[in-house]
Amino acid sequence: MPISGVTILVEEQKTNKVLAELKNYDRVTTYGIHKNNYIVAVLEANTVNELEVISNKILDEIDGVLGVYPAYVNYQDDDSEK
Amino acid sequence: MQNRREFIKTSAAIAAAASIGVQFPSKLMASTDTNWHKSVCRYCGVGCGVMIGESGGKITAIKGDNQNTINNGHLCVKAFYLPKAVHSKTRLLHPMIRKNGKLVETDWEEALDLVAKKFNEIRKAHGGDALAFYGSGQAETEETYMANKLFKGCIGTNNLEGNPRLCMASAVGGYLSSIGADEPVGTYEDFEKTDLFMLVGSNTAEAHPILFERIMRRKNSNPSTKIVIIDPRKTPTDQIADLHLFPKPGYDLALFNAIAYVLVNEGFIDESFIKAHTFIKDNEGQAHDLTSYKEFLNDYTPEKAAAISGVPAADIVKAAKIFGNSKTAMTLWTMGLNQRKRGVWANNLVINLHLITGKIGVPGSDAFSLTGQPNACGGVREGGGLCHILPGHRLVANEAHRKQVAEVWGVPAGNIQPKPGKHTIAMFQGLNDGDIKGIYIMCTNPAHSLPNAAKYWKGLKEQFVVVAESFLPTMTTEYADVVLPAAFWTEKEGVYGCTERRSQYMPGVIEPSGEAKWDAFILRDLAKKMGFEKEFAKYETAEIIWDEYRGLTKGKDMDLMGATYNRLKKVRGLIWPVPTEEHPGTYKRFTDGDPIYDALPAEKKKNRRMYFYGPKAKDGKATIWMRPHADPGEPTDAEYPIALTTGRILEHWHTLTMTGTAPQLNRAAPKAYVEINPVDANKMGIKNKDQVKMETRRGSLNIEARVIDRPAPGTVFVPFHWKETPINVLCSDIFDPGSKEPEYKVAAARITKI
Repeated sequence: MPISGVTILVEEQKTNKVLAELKNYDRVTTYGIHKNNYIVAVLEANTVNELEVISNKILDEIDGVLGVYPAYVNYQDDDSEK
Repeated sequence: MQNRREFIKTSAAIAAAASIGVQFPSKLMASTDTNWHKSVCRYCGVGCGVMIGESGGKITAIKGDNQNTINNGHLCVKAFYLPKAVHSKTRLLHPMIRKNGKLVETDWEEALDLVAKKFNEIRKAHGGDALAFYGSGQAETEETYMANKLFKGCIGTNNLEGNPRLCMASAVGGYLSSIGADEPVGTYEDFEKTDLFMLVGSNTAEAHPILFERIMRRKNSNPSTKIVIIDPRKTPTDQIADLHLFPKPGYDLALFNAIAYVLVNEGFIDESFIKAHTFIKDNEGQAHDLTSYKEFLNDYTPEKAAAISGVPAADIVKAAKIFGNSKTAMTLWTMGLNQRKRGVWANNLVINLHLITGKIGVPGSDAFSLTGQPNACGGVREGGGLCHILPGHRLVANEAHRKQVAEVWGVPAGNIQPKPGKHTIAMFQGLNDGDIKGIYIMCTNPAHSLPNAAKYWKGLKEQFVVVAESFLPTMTTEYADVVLPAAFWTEKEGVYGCTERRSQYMPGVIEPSGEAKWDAFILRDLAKKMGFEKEFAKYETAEIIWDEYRGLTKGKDMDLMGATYNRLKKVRGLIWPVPTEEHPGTYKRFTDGDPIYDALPAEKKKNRRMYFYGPKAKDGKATIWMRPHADPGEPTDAEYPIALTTGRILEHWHTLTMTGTAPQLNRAAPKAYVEINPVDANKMGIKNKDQVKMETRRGSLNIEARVIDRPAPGTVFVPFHWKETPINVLCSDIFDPGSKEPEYKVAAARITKI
């Protein structure tokens, strides 16, 4: 199951709102708001494609998100390879 | 106790936190069977550091390298798919030759024997200039170096080009003619020090996402930082813009002169910098003074420029005042400025803004061209991978340069021809005309990527074509007589040199797929079979090739003598000039801290803070150019009333040979579309998702309409990635007379609803 650790860059005045909205997303685990308005999160999916879909949804759907940046991607057990 | 899934989640969170300098409790860390290797991303020209996770001979994970100061551990969305390309089902695993019209598997011996025999026959019957090589800004420096020696040094033809001719040549011409030397004065370090980002013809958010993140971070931490965009199309980059100017495609030269007009007339110029550091010249190269320059600019008042460019005069004044009032300023640009009939002039006019205000050579200020490919700078611009240059910023036309290179290559000096070979468009025209009868294409896909592409399929069909590739099929392999399987990223070692003059080492981590071989060794083995055994016998390792190339940079403006493999394996790249193994690399060229500047005699540096010592500069001075406005090569008219422009999107890269290997990415962005402004769509009766016919003077395509407020009215945009809808077939192959770079960015088009 592909898993990615990402940092999410957020507008300064919207960090708490974004964090709260992220908690409503399936397969997204958050690890708090950190310096320079970054939220650390882990995305889980069945395929690498789903990782990107989740990433794009966060970027497109949540007001205040400026960017989603993968820092770690594990590709083992990608269902699309089966 | 954590299960495996929890462990991976924890590792992912720790890596993400570490990338922003946050340490999560280390007790969460556990041992793993993954081996990690420091490397560089395969995609764009930013040069992000990656850590490659290998396990059991496969790439199983990727991390951003948090010790690499370019990306500080962050990656863009394309990182999700890096290993997909390595282990793709479309990897080319065996040599193939065409028999009875079909490519069939063969072995290396038969394939290389055939290429050597055909190339030697052509050379004997028609001379060396009947052969050509077409390479890539994605090839490693060592690979391009071997091609250079084989074709220029042994075969004796300068018909050697690379696809950076299609993306960066105008920036090279701009830098050489304006500051006397290729490549930027500063580095990415300026991003964190600037008060203004002026983005010209660059969708940074999608094409260079990690640099866009650095721009956003700068604005977040310093809200007074301004962002001005000059682009005929609104893009995701606009989300942080303070001002966006929308010039008509191809009509921005007048705009840049008008910004200079305001800077000059509103007292924003640095006359002492101009006097001590610059010449002012007209288009014919005649010297002028500042008064004369001011008179020239009178033809470009904001009102006059507004009439030409379509940008309101008030916005031009506003942009100029933002530039003038910013203590420091960085202009960043990509293909929107380069892929133009007057791309060199456009580059000159942008660099002018920095020269007249003195916003160059100081922290936070630079005229900074962004590169599209990961090794366009390192392998091609520095390595001499074009028809008029030799390794180490040397010229084929310079006798001393030819002798220096020939001596290192161990070939007679007369082997290297003094006349530049055919540039890219001329080369493919040469194939059409039959002047070139055999071509070796490495790591690129010209049948898809050339402008007016269909025009050049004739030559590819008729002549002997060899393609060294990692993937099959591509549009170019459809024309190949021989296809050679090339090792891909992570399967070979070598050096990439990115946008900011930084050279970085990449290790070979896994064995090449199937029978694939490293491109440099394919060329070496071919050279031996062609009869150049003695000249290529010594190249047994990548390091031997790099060291020979490194020696050719000694004492040059791009001195890499301190960048040994041993050192590059440890550090996160080195920024030249780096003349010794003790030297840390150079942040700013031509000023204090640059070892070449520092070594200049004191009298040369008297009363100045920069000395432009590059090969094209005179008396250490840069040049402010009085370039007149010029229209695009193919203006819109009554018959073709819409301006077509093209580019990349976030999910894909170039001709899909890599990103297209991930079926998932194809589903995310499955096909081409044309962006049409709602105002234009309304006039033409076109609705979102309608099928439309797009036509230019070169052909037509059926394509889906995307009605969206992104391109300015009068302009449409089509991404160029998909072979099913190859928009480059419709693009113009008119090229800049100086840089020979084609004008992809402007073509007159018309659209009708089907």
